Amino acid sequence: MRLLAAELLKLRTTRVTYVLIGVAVLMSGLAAAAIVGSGSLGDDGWLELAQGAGFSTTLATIVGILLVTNEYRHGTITTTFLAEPRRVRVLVAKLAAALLAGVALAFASIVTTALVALPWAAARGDALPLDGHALEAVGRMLLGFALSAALGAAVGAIIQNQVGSIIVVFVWFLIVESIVGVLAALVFGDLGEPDPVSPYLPGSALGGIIGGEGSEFMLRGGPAALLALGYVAALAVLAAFSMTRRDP
Amino acid sequence: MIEVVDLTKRYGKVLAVDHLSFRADPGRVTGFLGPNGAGKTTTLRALVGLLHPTSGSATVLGRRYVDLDEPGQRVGAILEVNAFHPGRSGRNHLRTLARAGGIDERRVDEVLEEVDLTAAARRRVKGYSLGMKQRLALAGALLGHPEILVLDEPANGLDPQGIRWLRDLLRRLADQGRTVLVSSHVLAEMAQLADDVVIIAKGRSVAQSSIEAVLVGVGRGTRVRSPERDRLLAALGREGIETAPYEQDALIVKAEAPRVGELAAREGVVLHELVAESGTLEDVFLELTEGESSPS
Ligand SMILES: Nc1ncnc2c1ncn2[C@@H]1O[C@H](COP(=O)(O)OP(=O)(O)O)[C@@H](O)[C@H]1O
Ligand SMILES: [Mg+2]
Repeated sequence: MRLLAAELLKLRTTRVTYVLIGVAVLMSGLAAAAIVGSGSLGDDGWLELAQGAGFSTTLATIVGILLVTNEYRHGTITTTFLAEPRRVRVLVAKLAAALLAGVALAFASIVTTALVALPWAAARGDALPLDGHALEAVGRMLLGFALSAALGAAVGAIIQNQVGSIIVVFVWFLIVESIVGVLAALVFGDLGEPDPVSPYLPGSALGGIIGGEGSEFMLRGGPAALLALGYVAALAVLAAFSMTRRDP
Repeated sequence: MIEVVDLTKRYGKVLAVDHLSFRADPGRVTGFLGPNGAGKTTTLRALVGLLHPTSGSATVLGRRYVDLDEPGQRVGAILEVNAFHPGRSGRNHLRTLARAGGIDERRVDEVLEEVDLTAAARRRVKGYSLGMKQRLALAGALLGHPEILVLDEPANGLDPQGIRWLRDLLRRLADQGRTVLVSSHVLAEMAQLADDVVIIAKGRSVAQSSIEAVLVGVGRGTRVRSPERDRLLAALGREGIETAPYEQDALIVKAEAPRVGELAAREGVVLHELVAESGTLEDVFLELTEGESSPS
């Protein structure tokens, strides 16, 4: 518990945390404005808004990566391991801190989205009721952000190098998964048609938590979250090996 | 107490530490000396569980560091010159350590005061001088009132006053019964600080004893040659002056040359040679580690 408290204090005492929260606020505010402003709010307006804010999950992944790799980069991992030489405990504390940081980012995005969308939609006369859809959107956001951050922390603990971790994660999400998708489509059917492989890739699984609805290329909500959780757990096991075997 | 037994660490082809054994006792400052690349940092990192030894063991208070209860409150260590997030203030850095180590946060302001960093405590570490960073690292090591201190080159970056301050601090801590193990590649720093010394070169121990014995043993003091060596020895012995054999008719005497000359004159002992050994600690060091140190 006190390790988690220490990790949260580390997050609170570095500027980049606040910068990333600020960027999340900005991005979800702009997304909400664009969605409501376009006047195309459909039956499930909250889901569309969540999908707009969902782009900020990349920020959660970055927070998770930084949470671990900052320590290797600046050498503070030494003092961290002196305080708690059982490194798996340190990893668990960091994963928990990442989940909470993801929740904080989600919270900031949700509040911003609501503050922008509610009055604007009301002014335009669009229906945006605080109903079950709203609650569901909040749940998706919390899960999506928290798991994205935890994935970042796990990858950071495996790779340990900061720039390397960021590059690997985003090259994977943006390039590798697309290439796999194209190849799978060629093998299993036609380009542009859903294939049986790409929905199960880690990036798609994470994306599907918020954005899967209405896409034939992704799993949706619950199954996507479960699969993403599985990926995070598997990466966390690798991270435990990497952290305990590789001396800082 | 700190105990290193047959410790070996190999990095590929490099044997960083080679079957090293030594101990450091409570109430004493143990200087851990060796040229750059000798294996000091590697040894100290193994001691506090930051690296896995290839073989052998290093224990603190009779246990491996990872097996200690509350290591953060029993052992204080500095292993890296600059292990701080540059954007975090010195005080916040210490608060994270206190929180992780289960240490009362009131200690943070106390240790900041102890290392004279109170005025800079709320500034980002980025703006600290090397000396301030060393003092902040020391504050971190002192946070838990540790019985054991393991300090890797803590005098680096300190000015002469800073070194004297460090010396007084470590002396005080040892006098309180704590075990202090402190490494350096600069012998002069250790001359008036250490009670015991462990000298290593190329990962191997080359000398271990009290610092006086090391200095006398390799010829610091006065070299005196006499055909009446035994009479001279007896006279020096009566005066309580330490000696060490040198060659067949020569001695190394731990006293100034004039004193030895006057004593010989009084006793009517014939001298053939009386040489003030200008040997500095560095000479001693070079002599001990001769042929062992690699250029670095
Ligand atoms: N992580 C490492 N990988 C490879 N070689 C290393 C590593 N750490 C230290 N060494 C080598 O081990 C030897 C001892 O290094 P070190 O313990 O840092 O010496 P000292 O602290 O006495 O200057 C050196 O030759 C150094 O190059
Ligand atoms: Mg060193």
